[in-house]
Amino acid sequence: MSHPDTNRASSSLLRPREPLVGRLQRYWRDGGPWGWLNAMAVSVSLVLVLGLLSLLVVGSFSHFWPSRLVEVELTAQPGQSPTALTTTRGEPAADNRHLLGELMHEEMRRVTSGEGDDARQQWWLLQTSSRDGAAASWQWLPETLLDRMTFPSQALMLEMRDGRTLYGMPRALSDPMTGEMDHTPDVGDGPVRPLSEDAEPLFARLKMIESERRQLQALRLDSEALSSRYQALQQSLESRRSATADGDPARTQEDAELEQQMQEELEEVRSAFIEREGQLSALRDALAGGQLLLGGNGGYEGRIALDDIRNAWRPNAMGFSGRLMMTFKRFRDFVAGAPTEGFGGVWPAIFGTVLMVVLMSIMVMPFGVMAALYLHEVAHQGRLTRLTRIALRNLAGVPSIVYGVFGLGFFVYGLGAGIDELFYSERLPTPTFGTGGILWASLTLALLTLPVVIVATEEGLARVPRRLREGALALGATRLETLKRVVIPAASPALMTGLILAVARAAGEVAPLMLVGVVKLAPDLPLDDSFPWLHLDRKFMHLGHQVYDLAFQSSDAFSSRPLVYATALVLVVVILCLNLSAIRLRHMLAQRYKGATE
Amino acid sequence: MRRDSEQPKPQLFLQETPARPAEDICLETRHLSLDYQARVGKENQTRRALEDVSLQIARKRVTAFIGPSGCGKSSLLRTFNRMTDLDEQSRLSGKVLLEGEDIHARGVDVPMLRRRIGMVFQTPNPFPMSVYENVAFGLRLVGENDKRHLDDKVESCLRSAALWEEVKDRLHDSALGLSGGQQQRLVIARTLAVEPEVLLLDEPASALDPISTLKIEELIRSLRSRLTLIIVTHNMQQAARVSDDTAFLHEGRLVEFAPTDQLFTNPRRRQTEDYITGRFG
Ligand SMILES: Nc1ncnc2c1ncn2[C@@H]1O[C@H](COP(=O)(O)OP(=O)(O)O)[C@@H](O)[C@H]1O
Ligand SMILES: [Mg+2]
Repeated sequence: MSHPDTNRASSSLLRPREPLVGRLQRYWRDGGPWGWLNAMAVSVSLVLVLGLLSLLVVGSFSHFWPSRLVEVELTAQPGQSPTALTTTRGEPAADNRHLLGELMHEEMRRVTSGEGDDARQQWWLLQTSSRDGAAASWQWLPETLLDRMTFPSQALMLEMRDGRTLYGMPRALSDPMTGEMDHTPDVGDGPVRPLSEDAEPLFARLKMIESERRQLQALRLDSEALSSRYQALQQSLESRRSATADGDPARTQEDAELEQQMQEELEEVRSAFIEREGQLSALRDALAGGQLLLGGNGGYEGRIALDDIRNAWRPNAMGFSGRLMMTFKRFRDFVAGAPTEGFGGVWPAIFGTVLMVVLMSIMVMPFGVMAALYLHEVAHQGRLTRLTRIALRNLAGVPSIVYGVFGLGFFVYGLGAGIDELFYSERLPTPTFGTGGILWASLTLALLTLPVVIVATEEGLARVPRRLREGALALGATRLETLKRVVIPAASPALMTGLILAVARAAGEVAPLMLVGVVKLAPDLPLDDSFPWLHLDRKFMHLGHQVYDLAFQSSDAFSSRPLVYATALVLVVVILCLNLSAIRLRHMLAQRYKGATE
Repeated sequence: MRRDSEQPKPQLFLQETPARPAEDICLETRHLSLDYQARVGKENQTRRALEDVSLQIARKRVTAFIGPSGCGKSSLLRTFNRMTDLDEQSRLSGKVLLEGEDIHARGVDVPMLRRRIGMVFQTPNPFPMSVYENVAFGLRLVGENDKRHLDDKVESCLRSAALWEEVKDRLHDSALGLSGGQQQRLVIARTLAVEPEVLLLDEPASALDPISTLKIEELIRSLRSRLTLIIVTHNMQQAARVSDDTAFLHEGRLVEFAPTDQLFTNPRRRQTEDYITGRFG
């Protein structure tokens, strides 16, 4: 840059004062605006990602966060029985002025009165349990219908093992042994009035039941083990006896003693088994005996077996930390639980998603690495290789549903039907492999992610320096040995990069899976303790599909929307975990072969 | 790599190989020529890297190849252990004989050949493994997995390469953590482990600092009693210091090959004299 006053300013490093236009010009030339633009792009992406995550977190936790239980008293309107107050069977309720439920939502509505001017009116959404405990029902109540709202601190919210949610007031608890109520219910004073007694004994009983159930489980395993031990002992004793029958000259004193010993042991096992069984039945009785008398809507009371209750809460009586605990417990139940009617868990879907990704990785990695090795190390680098490479790269851009169609046509209807005919013909026409299953789903995804793995691996191989290969060859290694001992280890971080990309792509795929084996509700996990443990032919559940199903196939938008958020959150977390473990693996390998590729 | 049928070329240069009895000759080339084919733009161009090189290398001596950059020193060295096979574009004619056997003959076991003729490259290239595994690499290749034997061998090779004292406490650390000079000596130890008869060193010290260079040179001198060494260098002092015989190459041709002191004090050829006195290069 030359300034008119170069001579005078030459002694100073400071720029002479410039007019504003000049400064702006320089600012432009130095790239200042571009820096801002880039920073803006980064922040927009960051805000979007964080916004998405917080939407998921807030959306799902508002579902698990306990809302207050409200008891409303409705205005008695002569000649008009509010529809809200009929039972599910349509009979008019005995007491149709009191209603207990969870306050889900409130909103202001604009209503038009007769003269045409608008008025604003508050509406409440209440979730209540019906008397007979069928599915929860929703009640929209306008303020004009409400006389009084109270938040009784004793109000109970029960999450049942079958997925129902019940609301009500605790009335009495029955004796665990006799099944008799230890308190005469006081039903005279209104339908949903709390008893003076509080619900503490109920929680104590529930806690006990929890431990009793664990005990029961342990006992059951114990007695099963004993019974199989008994059978094994008996068998070996019998076979011994028949081998060395009396009068056999080979039968010695020693044999007889051994048999005696075995007999004694048998008796011991038998008595232990009988004792366990006795304990078991006592426990079962204790569990079955406990009952809760719950006062519900419409003045009805119901007896509920304590054993059927999974969780009992008193949301109105809980402080902040209690609510937080409850939120986390419900979230945990959601993550670890199996799906039921109504409130269900997503554990099988998590399991299915992870298992499918793992199977996909096991299939795609060897295949992709071998293909890349061929392309990069073996094939003559001619036009055909170049064409293959271009084709592979383009294959990565084919929409995933196309792979789904291919999987259905080729794997399910082609290969699967063939396998059925060859090996499972006795079960036909019921298909075994001739229908969607986790094997075909993983294979389809493996195909989908193959190009990614090949491209990443090839790039990794290209980065292994020539001098390493030459070093191995110069020591008398063959080409195969060079590959196995030097090149592939040095390229292994790149293989992991391929795996990471493949996992990231496969875990989030839903569309192709719907064609080749994902279902809304699978009866069994694809991996269990029955031979051969991994059931590749089984259909499975997938988080992505659950999200889709909840969002588009559910008739009840109000209850499914928070579940969509929650399921999506779990999906994101699962993918994150899968990716992180792959990244960790790559990091470890990169540490190990640090400096090998530069 | 393809080979042309052999056709002796007219000798343009007088071969002034030091006269020595046939049984002392370890490695010999006869009318060796090497072409590289390179694609320049749309057409294939042929570059001649070696032109009719015939020389005889004596057993258990150090032979140095000197010459200006690009004169074909590395190429000549790489024909000895058939590293030129790796270049699909190379084309070779003439013969290379190891102990009288044609190494390019049909049925030659190339990995075996490379175990007999070891090679050390210009940039140190230890494998991304531990020091120990680097030295054991060649032994494991031939199926040696006995721990005791490997331990002994690793130690003796590291001692031969004058590296044992420096690495004996970090045998199981990554070899990539060593300094450049240590890495190069490790590569030499690794090569010694397979017990080669000939050791080819392609500018082994050109990437190293002066002290490491000195150590490598000492090492070369100490190995002389055990095997035949051929060293490529662009450093004439180095050639003078370590070698017994020196060959001067220029533009792919062998210009002069003589005992080192003779070549440096009394070169027969004008080109050699110009080069060693620094008048071109
Ligand atoms: N792989 C190759 N492909 C094509 N040309 C090569 C190859 N290797 C070496 N050359 C050429 O052969 C000639 C000799 O090279 P080189 O043997 O490396 O020389 P020096 O080691 O003496 O410097 C150079 O002109 C170089 O460009
Ligand atoms: Mg060179």
